[in-house]
Parts: sequence; C-alpha cells; structure tokens
Amino acid sequence: MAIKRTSNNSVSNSVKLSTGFSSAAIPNTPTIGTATATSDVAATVEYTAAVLGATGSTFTATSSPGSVTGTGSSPITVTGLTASTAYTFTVTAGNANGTSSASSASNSITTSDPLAGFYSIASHTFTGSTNTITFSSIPQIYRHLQINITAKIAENINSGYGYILATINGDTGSNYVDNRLVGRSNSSFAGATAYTNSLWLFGSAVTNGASLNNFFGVGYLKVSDYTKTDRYKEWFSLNGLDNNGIGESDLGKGSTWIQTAKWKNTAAINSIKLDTYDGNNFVNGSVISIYGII
Amino acid sequence: MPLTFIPLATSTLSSTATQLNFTSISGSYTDLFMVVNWKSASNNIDYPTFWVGAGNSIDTGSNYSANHFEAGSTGVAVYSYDNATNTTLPYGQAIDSPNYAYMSVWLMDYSATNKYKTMIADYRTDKVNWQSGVGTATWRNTAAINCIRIGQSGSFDMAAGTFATIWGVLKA
Repeated sequence: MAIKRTSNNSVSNSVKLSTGFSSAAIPNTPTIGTATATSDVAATVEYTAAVLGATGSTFTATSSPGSVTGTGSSPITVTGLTASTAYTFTVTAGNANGTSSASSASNSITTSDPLAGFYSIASHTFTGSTNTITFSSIPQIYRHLQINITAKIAENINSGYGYILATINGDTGSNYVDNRLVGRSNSSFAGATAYTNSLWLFGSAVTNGASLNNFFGVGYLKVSDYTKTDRYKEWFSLNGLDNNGIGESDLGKGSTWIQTAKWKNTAAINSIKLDTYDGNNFVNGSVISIYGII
Repeated sequence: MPLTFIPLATSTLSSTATQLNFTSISGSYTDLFMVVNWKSASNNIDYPTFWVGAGNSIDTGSNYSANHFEAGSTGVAVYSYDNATNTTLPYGQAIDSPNYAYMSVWLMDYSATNKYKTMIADYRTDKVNWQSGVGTATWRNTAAINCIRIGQSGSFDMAAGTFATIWGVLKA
C-alpha cells in the first residue's frame, strides 16, 4: 500500500493488490478433485478452479491411459473410455492466452464391465492394393468375437477360389483344424471335408472377371470364448456367394459354406490376420469388421 | 463403448396378409440383420420369400439369384436360382400353429452403392417335411437398400403371427 500526500494536507490511498493478474496471462493450474466411474465407458472428474490469476474459460479433463478428454464445468464428464479399465485424470484450464499446466492426477477409478450386447471393435474398408488386414490388440473384455465380411478378391475364377486365410496370434504353425460343408450352385453336393494341420481358411466368397463386376461374397465367422486360456479356440462360419450363374465353375457361380475350425492353442486370441490365400489383393469396397459379443 | 447392434423395427401380422413391409430403412449402418418367424395361412406348400429395393420401391424384377442347401426329411439337396424375381432362400411349408419356420438373414454392406447386395441366411422348419438349411442370395443392383418385403412365392397369405425384426449393425 502506498500513501501519498496531496495538497491541502489531504491524504489519498493508492492501493494496488499484487494478484499476479495480467490480461495476457494464462490461468493458474486447477486443483484436482474426485474422479468417479459412472458407466462402462464414462467417468466424471471434479476440479476447483484457481482463485487467483487469470480466469479459465475452458477446463479439460484428460485420462491416463488413453488421453481421452472431456470439457466443461466441474464435474467434467469424460466419455469414450474403455470398459473394465483403470484410469486417472488430470485437469487443465485454458483461455485465449493458453493452457495451464496439468493438475496432479486424480484418484484411480475403474470403469464397469460392459453391458451385454454386440460391440464394434474395428472395421476396415479396402481402398488400396492390399491382400491383408490384421486386427491386433483385440480387447480382452468380451466373451465372443464375430467378424463380418463383404469381400471380393482380384483373381480370375480359373486360377483360384477366393479363399481368405486366417492366422491367429501370428501362429503360422500346423495348429489348425478345419472342416466344411459346401453346397454348390449346380445342384451337386460337395459334402463335408476335413482339413488337418493346415491354416484355417475362411472359405470361398470372391471371384473376379469382367462379367462379375459388383458381385461380392459375404459371410460371418464367430470365435467363441476367445479369451479363455483353458481350451482350444473354436470357430464357426457361414459364408457364400452367388454370381447369378456366371463363372467357370459351379463353386464360383454360387456356393454356400458352413465351416467349423479349431485353433489348437489355449492362449487368448489378441490378433487375427486375414489375407488372401493366393496373395491377390482385395478389391476396393471390400469390408471386414470385427465385433465383440458379451 | 456404445452398443452397435441396434433394433430398427419389428412388424407382426395381426391377421393374414400377403406382404409384410419395412420401408425407409436408415442407411446409417454397415449391415442389417433380420429374423423372421413365418407361417403360411394356406394348406399348400409355399416358400417364405423376400424382396428388397431402393427409394422405398420394392424390386420385383428378375434381378435376384440364390443358392442354398439343406438337410431334410427326404435327404440332402442343393438348389440354385438365376435371374429370379425374388430371393426364395428357404424351403417353406404350410405350417400349422404353433409351428413357425425360422429364418435369420444378414444383408451385408446393404447401403453401399459400389456393389451388388449379397445376403446370407440360415433357416429351419420341422413341420410336414423338416429342413435345416443355409443359403446365399444376391440382388443385382448397386443402389442402397432401404426397403424389404417379406411374403411367399405363391399367391397365398401368410398367417397371423408371422413377424420379422430388423437390426442395424454399426461399424467402428
């Protein structure tokens, strides 16, 4: 406080509080509060804005791991978290001049287990020249997996059948068993065939040729109990194609396949690679999506 | 982690009818999944059948093909239909109450505009002649599907109680 004598012996007080405030300053760091898990994918994060310093206009909570963010007033809601996962959060304050440093980390919370249902994990639409897609780091929080396929492979029906090959956890050993029941379009019946000690094949589904533009094969495959470590992994698929009678073979003109297969390994599945048996590329527009089922 | 298997519509026949229609199906999903419980109102053998279309216009032209195989009381058989006017996938029967035929169908990438639409189905019925089967069908049109019609191949009615439910499946 400065006291200044003025004329006529009057005295005025000229007061300046040192607050550290500046119109060009960034806000001070907020104080972290309590974090609370509110669902399988969301949490709330409380904070207290700094009393001193520039005013924060935007407050952001950031998760660790994942760096998933939410903004707003306390409590901030953060959505898009992963179920059954432990998180801590920090909060920053921002204004037009910048962003404060992050608060200390919150208490740790764990999101709840996911609700029963059918969840999308990842999807890939082929737009370039490639013959493979790998779904890696598959979350271990579901009971079963399902892969939906709409696919076509750039190969001539005379040189291949458009098989899609599955490789689990990078295992290229002779640890697969595959058996199939196939119905062909020409009313002959292929019957059941068992393949042992070979990589598992998804099945037919795709062919190529000028007269076959726009025809795609479809199918789905299911993997049960993919996280269990006390059993081999069982697969089931239903897939097929119908080319309206066009094609060089009855199989390529139209066929429907039922397949069961086994990966003879008790490890949890965390990676599934799908590629073409003959090495030819997937045609643009092919779509492969993987889902988790609880 | 939002659910990605979304119920879109259910329709149940309260009385006999020749058609059961779904229209204005959203194109927001990757695949459609449909379950049908079906029964004919007649004593004639007939086939559960369905059609699809774009712009709420069902296509009854010769733009379908299908193949399916089944195990039944008379053995194993394979069927194939080219340039058909509908997707007759399952082998249906005139089924008396409370026996309904069951069919589930995946319509993959149904809203894409760069490919014909292919669907894959499984089905069963166990009245008169029992069958369990699977089949694949293609609609030769690149337009996005936004309507589905369920009926039967003959001119007979479907029985009251026939119903269908459609789900949309989102991708990540």
